[in-house]
Amino acid sequence: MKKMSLSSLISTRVGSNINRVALVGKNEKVAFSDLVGTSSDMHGKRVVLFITDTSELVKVLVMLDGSAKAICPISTGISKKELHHLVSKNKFDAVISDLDEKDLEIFTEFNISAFKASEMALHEQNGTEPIKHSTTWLIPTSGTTSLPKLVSHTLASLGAASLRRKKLDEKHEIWGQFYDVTRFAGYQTLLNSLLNGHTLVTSSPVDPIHERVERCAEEFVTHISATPSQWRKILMTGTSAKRIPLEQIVLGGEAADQQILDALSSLYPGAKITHTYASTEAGLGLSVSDQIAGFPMRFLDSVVGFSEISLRDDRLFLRTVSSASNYADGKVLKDAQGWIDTGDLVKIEGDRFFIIGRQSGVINIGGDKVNPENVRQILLEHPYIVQANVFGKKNPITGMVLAANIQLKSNVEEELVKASIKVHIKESLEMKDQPRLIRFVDDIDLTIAGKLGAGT
Amino acid sequence: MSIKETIRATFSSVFSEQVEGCQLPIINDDLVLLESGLDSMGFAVLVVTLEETLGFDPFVNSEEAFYPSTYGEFVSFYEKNEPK
Repeated sequence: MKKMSLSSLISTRVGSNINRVALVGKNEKVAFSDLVGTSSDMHGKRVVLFITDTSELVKVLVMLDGSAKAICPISTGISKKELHHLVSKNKFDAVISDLDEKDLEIFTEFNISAFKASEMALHEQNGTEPIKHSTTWLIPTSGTTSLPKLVSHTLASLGAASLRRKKLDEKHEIWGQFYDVTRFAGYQTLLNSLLNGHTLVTSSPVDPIHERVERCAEEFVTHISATPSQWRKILMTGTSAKRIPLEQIVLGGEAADQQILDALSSLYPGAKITHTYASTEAGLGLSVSDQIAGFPMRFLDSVVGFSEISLRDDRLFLRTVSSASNYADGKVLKDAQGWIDTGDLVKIEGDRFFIIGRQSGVINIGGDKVNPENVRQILLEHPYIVQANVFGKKNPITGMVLAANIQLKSNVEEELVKASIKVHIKESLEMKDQPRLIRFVDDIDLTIAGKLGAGT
Repeated sequence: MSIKETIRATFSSVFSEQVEGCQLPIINDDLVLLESGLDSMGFAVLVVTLEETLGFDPFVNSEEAFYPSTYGEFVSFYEKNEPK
């Protein structure tokens, strides 16, 4: 691909549809023509984008690609602890935000200059000008610990799937946003819209699910990509879900079970239903639209779409064109032949293979990675807990829910201790790491403590 | 206890355990599950707890792939799929 900025690519690819609506926000609609343009305000700088409003975030992203040295959009929903970790471990020159100064204290603490998103100035409005910088896109991912780290991507690797379509389809797709835009899957949806002239109906994870689904129905959304857990919630809205005129359904981020595939196919009989496997590191991996859980064995040791797939010691290895180059800390993520060890364990059943969990024991809870051993260690810090095990419990609503069996010291006032354990959990663990299903038991089988990653 | 009564009691206890600072909603058939105050992880806990109490999971037993929207639908899904 000739190196072009995101702004230039939009102008070139969207062409005569430039006045079409690109983003439908809660209160405003943004046309492709409003997005095009670059700014040299952040030329050569490493910039954090900490912006709540999706439309605003997208405008700034487009403005800075090709000029900034690196852009790192971070979800404003991130915890203080995680944000502090990211900011302290990486060198940034500036932060652009739509939040108040008091919400940006962590950045000022590290002498990172803050700029208001609304005050960013466009310098070159029209253009297919050559880019000044090949901008690195830094994407936070949860590593094997509970703290996030950054993966280095480029527009070419993030947008590989979107750029594969050489010619724009005549068909105008309307996408509903369910992933946070700052996650790998969120970029897939966003870039597909921006680079192929499709409209994206944005919404925020803090909006109630009924409202999000209702908006999709009102805006005649035809395509949605979401995790199986999000799809179950969408289906639980009943009649609102039924009113979305869906033509294409994509499931990713965690394993899709047969039940959710069947439920979607019965509610949307005409829609194409695709489940995918992707990761921030490896990029797009696998996708299949036969509405059967798992992936076909014929995918192994062959090239499928973007990826070559191989199984080694029951682990999934991928070699893809959309993979990241490395971690931002310089750590290599591929071997000499370009293969990435995804760390995901695979089980073969008949002519399908299934992703069943992480080798590290990390559990996927509704798309978030949780390390049960870290959670167990935190629980054991409580003075009245003798032993604990933490595991994913399978269930039909969220796929997995984080569960903990806890053994208390003998002769303690149970009710009082339970309340103090609740407080300990809330204060010491991120929301996603807090066990929701807690059982107090008399005895814990130590041979399985902390090792129940694949669920029971 | 009937299935209906067990679900009601379990819903109340799971609600008070999972939701802080929120009053238990009035439980009737029209209560929209995702607007009850219990989030989806809370529902996961409810379904797992009911499986332990009732001894079955209708989502596994059922031939039909279905996600209930209201409390009434939820209860009748359990009643319909109770193993005979």
